[in-house]
This record gives sequence, C-alpha cells and structure tokens, in this order.
Amino acid sequence: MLATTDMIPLLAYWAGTPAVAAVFVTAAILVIAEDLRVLVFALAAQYLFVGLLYTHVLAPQVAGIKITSGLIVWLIVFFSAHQHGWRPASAISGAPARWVLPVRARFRVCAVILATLIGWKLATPGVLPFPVASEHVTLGALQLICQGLLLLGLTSRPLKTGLGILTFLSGFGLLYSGVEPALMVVGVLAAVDVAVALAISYLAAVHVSSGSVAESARR
Amino acid sequence: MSLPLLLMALPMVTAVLTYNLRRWLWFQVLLAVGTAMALIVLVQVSPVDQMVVVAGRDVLLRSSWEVLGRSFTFVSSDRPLLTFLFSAALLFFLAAGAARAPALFLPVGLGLLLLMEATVFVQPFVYAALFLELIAAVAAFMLADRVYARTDGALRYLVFVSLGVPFILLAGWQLEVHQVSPDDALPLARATWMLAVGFMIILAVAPFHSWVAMVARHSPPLAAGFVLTVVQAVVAFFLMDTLAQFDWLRANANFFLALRLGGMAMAAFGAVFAFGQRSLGGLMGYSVLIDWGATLLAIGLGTPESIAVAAMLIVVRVLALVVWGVGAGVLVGPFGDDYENMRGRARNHPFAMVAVFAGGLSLSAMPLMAGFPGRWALFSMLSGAHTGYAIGLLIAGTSSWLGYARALCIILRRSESQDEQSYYAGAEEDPLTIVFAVPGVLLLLWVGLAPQLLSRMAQRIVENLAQLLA
Repeated sequence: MLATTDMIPLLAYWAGTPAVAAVFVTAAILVIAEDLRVLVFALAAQYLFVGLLYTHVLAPQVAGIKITSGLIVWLIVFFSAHQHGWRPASAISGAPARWVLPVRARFRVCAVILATLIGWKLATPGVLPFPVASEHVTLGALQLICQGLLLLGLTSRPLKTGLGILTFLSGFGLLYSGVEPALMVVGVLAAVDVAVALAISYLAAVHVSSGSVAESARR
Repeated sequence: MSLPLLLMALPMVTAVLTYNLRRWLWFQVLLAVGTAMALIVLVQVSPVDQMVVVAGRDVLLRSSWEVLGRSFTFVSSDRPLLTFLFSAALLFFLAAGAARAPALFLPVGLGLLLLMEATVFVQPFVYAALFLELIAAVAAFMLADRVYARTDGALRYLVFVSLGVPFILLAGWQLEVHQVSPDDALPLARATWMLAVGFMIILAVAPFHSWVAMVARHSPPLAAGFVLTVVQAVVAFFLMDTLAQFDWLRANANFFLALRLGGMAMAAFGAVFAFGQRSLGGLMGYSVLIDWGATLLAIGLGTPESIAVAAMLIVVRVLALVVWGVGAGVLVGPFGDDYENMRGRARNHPFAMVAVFAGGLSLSAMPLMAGFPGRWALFSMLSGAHTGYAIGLLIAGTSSWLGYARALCIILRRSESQDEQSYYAGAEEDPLTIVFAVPGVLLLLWVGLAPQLLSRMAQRIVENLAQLLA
C-alpha cells in the first residue's frame, strides 16, 4: 500500500501534463459525444483532473472542497441522466445508429479542433492578462473555457447545455482561483456549480416529461 | 445577532415551509406575504449596532456578518432599496393567489429574495456577481414546469448570466491590481471594459437579449414578470452601486456612452420585434426590452435627475407587470398564449383581459398610465442634447402601443365556436381575479395621474449616486 510520502510525488506528476491532457480529451468528448454514458464518464474524469489542477493554485485542503463539489455535481448529473434513460440522442430521435461518424459529429470534431487551437493560442504568455500560476493551469482552464463556449453554441438540449455551462465554469474557476483564492469565493463558486447542476437536472426532467406527454398525446 | 443573517435566514426558513405547503396555495400565499411584510418592518425599524430589548431580553443587532474572511454588511443607505425589493416581492406573492401561480413560484421566490439580499449585503461588493449566478440557477425552478414545459428561456437566461458574471469578477480583480500599483492606468481601463461587457450581457443588452422574449413567451407569466422586473432591478441597482463606488468610473464618459448606446440598441430591437408578435408573452417581452432600454438610456445620461428617472421606471415596471401577470395567469393556459388561442378565452375573462392590456400599455408608456410620467421625464431630458435618442425611443414606444392595439383587435374577434352560438354565454370570471384586477388597473391609472406617489420612493433608492453625480 502507498504511504503518504509516496503519494505526494505521484499526485504532483498526475496534476501536471497528464491532467492537462485528460482535460483536453474529456472536454472534446463532452462536445462531440451524444451517448449519455460516455458524457457522464467524461464529466467524472474531467472533474477528477480539474480537481488535481486546482492543487497548483489552492491549498490541497481547499482544492478538496472543489473535488467534493465536483463529485456532488457529477452525482446530480448521473442521476439526471439515469432518469433520462441513458439513450443516445440518435436513439431518442429514431435515427438508426451506425458505425460511421454522422455529419454532425464530423462537424463537431472540426469545431473542437478549432476551439483547441484558439485555447492553445490564448494560453501563450502575455496574450491574456492573467498571472501565470502554472502553465498547466492556464492551458487546461482556457481549453475548458473554449470547449465550454463551443458546447453552449452547439446544443439546445438542457443536459448538454448544462454540461457546457459546467465546463465553462470549471475553466473560469481554475483561472479565477489563481487570482482570488479566498475561501468564501471558492465556497460560493462550488455552490454555483452545484446550483447549476441542480437547475439543469430539473430542466432536463421537465424537458423529458414534456416529451413523454407529447408522445402520449400523439398516441 | 446580526441583522443581515436575520434578514437572510427568514426567507430561507419560510421558503422551506411554503415548499411543504405547496398543495395549499393560499397558505403559501399567506406565509410568503407575511414574510415579505416582516422583512419590510425589520428593515424599516431595526436599530443597527444598538442594544434593543426583545421579549425582555437584551439583543444587539450587529450590522455585519463575517463568513470565511468576507462579510455581509447592512448599511442604512440600503434601507430604501431593500424596502423596494421586499414590497415588489410582496405584490408578486399576493398576485400569485389570483393568477394561480405554479406551486414552486412562492418557495423559489422566497429563495430568490434571500439571494437578492446577499447581492446587496456582500462585501467586497463585486462578489454580488456570484450571487447573480446563483439567482439565475435558482430561478430556473420557477421558469419551467410541467404546464410551461419549454425550457429554452430558463436555459438561455442561465447561459447568459454564466457568461456575464466572469467579466464582473475579473473586473474586481483588476481593481485590486490597480490598488497595488496606482500609477498604472491599464488595470483601470481593463476593469472598465470588463464591467461594461459584464453588465451588458446580464442586463440583456442586444445582442444578448434573446432570453428576455423566450422567458416571457415560455414561462409562467408571474414568474417571468418576477425575473424581468425584480431580479433585473437588482442587477440595475448593482450597476448604480458600482457607479457610486468608483469616481474614476463616474468620470469615464465612454462608459456612459456605452450605456446609452446599449439602451438604444435594446429599444431598437424591441421596436423591430414588438409589433409583429403573435403571442401575449412575446409582446410583453419586447415591451420590457424597450422599457429596460429606456432605463439604461436614463442611467447613461449620468445626471442626478436622470438617475432618479431610471429608478422611477424600475419601480413602476413592477406595478405594470404584477397587473399584467394577474391577467395573463388567468388567460394563458396549457394551450399557450398565441392570440388565436386567446380569442375565446379573452371574451370569457374580460377583467383578466383588461388587466393584461392595462399592464402592457403601462409598460409601453401609454399616456395616463403609470409608465408614462417617467418616460415623459426622460423625453424632456433627451430632447435637448440627444434628440436622436428621444425620437428612437418614441418610435419604439409607438411600436409597442401598436402591438397591443393589434393584439386587442385579434383577441376580441369572435372565435368560430362563439360564432356558432346564437346567444352570449356570459363571462366566466373568477371573483378573485376581479378583486385583484380592478384595484390593479385603478392603481396604474392613479400613478399615471399622480406619479409623485412613487417618485419619492424611487429618489430615495438612488439618493447616494444622485448626490455623487450632482
């Protein structure tokens, strides 16, 4: 079993380049994927690695608050998706599932690549007026912000829009914690994440119930 | 005991109680109205930082509540603003009974009241932006339900607030940078544009206005009215508070120009879309957009008189939308608020229809209605140096009037089922609707004839900023 002294260098390693790479991948998956199982898994991984990135700008105990709030947010989204029915959007709309990338997904892949490049360019020192606490944090945060904005622009369904807001807020929270590490601000930002998750979960439930009412009315 | 804590705890406790009473609307209404009244009394009479005797015990009501290194502080100059917020909430809560508001309206409304208080109390005040984000998230619970199942408006509102809040928070950080190196003007310049962009997004300045019409069209009428007047009023007063705090911002002519242009853009977009609307909610949404545009124009003039006019417009808007909400809550059912769907219902609910049109015309600043005196005062101020703005605002107002005239023509046409009837079945109006609609409409007319009833209250809310601008 690992001792605490062994865990610290391991944590420092995982909070570096691997965390940024994971954030790149999970944010891209959130934009491209339609299957709720994939989305929920990507969100869990994203919150885990964002929590690790927080250790660069906050004390580990305070970063723990963010990881805990991330866990709560993920649980809310998980149960909301569970209620939704775990079906991909194509199954809900009745389109047959195929093993080729549909046009929509191909467009999203291109958009994700563009957003990644924009985020990469903005992370160049001197472009944005942020103190560079850590290059990893700046790069990860800007990726989250860009992909979050992209997701907000591409979807109108409550759950995916909510994932866009949460991704955007994760990125902003990382950047802002570097300049304002006050405990109250960290706490309120965590409360904001939870409130947003609850709101989108509620809106997704209303959306689904309205769809089922319309379906039964058609029958 | 701390007064901010007491003022914030009271609505939270009653929000939980009203949620549990959601099967009994009138118990909910009584509890919510009682809470709002208790808050008004507390704000008006509570001595701050003085020992008072309550039930034989000495109690010290402190003005500040420290939480994790930051504070929620009550200052005496907050009294008029808080009184306005609680009074506005009281009117909406009272109207909820007549308009048969959704079960979550009152508990969520009380929860929003708590968060709105937090935006007023929190220090440093730029953290109020964080509470605006919480408000947008909590408001989603009243903006959609099983009957009003379109979630687009609530979602779009949440998205835009989420986009706007970071700008305001980052502006606060730039101000801290400026305090460290006061000779460097760059942080101030950055803070200025960040504040401008943040407020423009949250105040729904075009092109960030789409959520206003969506909320108005797809959400329960009273809930939409609450968000578009009371919640947005908190944002506007937050903007005025920001102006009062920073003399460099008050001295920045470009910031005021941006406010005027933003206000004009809102009025222009409202004017283009108001006339062509085919639903009551849509017409209300674009009329509110025009009215908010007028308010921003008034703030952008940057004189003590114009700030008082802006406050007057905000206060009067509450009355107009409460009356509109009572009528629309009765008329708009599960079939939506399209004019065609309203045709039969409007003839059967004449008092509700009069309430909708009186509230809407007051919002459009029709002469003799409550919204007119404030708009007229603004026209007088604009007519000298800013004639173009005055003409634009006049055209926008006219579009809104014509929109209501057109709506009235369509709605009053007899429906096919009524055409087939050889007799008039008579009105189906609930007496409760009459009890609320008649005094509401009379109040709108009375304020239209005697605006000084509310103008003094409005002046007191912005007294600080007006003195600084003088």
